[in-house]
Amino acid sequence: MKKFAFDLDGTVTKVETLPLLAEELDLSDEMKLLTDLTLSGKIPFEKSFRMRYLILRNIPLKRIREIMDGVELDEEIAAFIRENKKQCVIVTGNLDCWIEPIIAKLGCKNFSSTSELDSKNNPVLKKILNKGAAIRELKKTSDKVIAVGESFNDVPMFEEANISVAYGGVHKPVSAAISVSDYVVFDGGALCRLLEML
Amino acid sequence: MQTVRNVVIAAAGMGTRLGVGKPKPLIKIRNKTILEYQLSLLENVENIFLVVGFMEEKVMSFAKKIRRDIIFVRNANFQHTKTLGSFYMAAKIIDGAAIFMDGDMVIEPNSFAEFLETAAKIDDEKLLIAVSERISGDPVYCDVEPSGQALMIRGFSYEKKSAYEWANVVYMPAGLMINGNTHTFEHLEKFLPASSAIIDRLEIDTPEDLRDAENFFKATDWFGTN
Repeated sequence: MKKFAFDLDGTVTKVETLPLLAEELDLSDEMKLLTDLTLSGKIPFEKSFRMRYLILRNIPLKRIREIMDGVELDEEIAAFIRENKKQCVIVTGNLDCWIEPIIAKLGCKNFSSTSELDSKNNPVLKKILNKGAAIRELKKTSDKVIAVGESFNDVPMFEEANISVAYGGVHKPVSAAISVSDYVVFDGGALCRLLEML
Repeated sequence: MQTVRNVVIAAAGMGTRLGVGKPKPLIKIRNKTILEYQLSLLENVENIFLVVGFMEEKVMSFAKKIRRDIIFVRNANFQHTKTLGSFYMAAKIIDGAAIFMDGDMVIEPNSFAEFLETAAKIDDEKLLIAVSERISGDPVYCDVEPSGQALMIRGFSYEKKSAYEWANVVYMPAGLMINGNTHTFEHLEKFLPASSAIIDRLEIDTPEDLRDAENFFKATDWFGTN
């Protein structure tokens, strides 16, 4: 059975979620800078995510989930995922307990960075996801894994996937992601039609 | 009503004979690019596949402004493939039939609309090969003869002159495309005789073609823009 692996931020969601969370601390410009540097590959994802996590952990988890619950999704892609739940997986470097409200709306499985709750019920970052390893895991049970994403940290995912689609619905896919992709689309409807064909 | 659902445009080439340092679909004639003229003919077609290679990001960022839902197919090996190879990269994911066309010509809208109508009516397993009575500088002639109301094409030739040339547009089952490195017409020869339809178009292969096209559109108003 073929499987579809979707990046979350800026692919399924209409915005990058971490800068949105940082608004809560009045640090959205700083977070956007870090996010832009990461998306374009100027700083490694792991380091950047650790820094972003250290900033955002100051927001109560309950509040983070409220904000995440209000994040706008690309409705066409979300509908596609809901209709093909068993075949779709979210593959994101974002943190498991933060993205829960979004995953609940989509109803599919996910690979994400993981956390554990400490004694005060605050999440502690445990392991940052390697997106390439997630695709390798999916390939164990599927002979055709199709990856959809747009940023620098999607490159390892594209390299491991059987077919890769660079999706520029929110922002233009980075050149590195385009250069290892098979197809490029900029419209949610066109993406879903393409996924049906693959 | 039946309609043509898929159109594949080959836009990966380097256009070396023209030598303007940009992909041919982005060349302007009378202030409009070849790609804009082509997409204006395809507004009712659901899936547009644009095969990109040479300067792909430039082609994509321009094309998506004209039509956002284009599906771009990357031919990373564009320096070593011909149009047929580009067509195949899109054809391999298409279920059913598609129009396959070159991205380096301006097509007269009425003749293309008729081609679309005829294509929509023909049997899904059959081909409809476009020919043109406007003979270009480097023609592949077509042996065409009337068959009832329709035209049938029986062969292609560089040498054997005729009133028709291969117009680089064909409607055919996508499953019949192959990953070959021959000219597209050489592959189509396997499926002859086939139905044929006349379209009018200007091919832009050389600097002279481009200059002639500029002059042509000063006098002839195919797109109602004069």
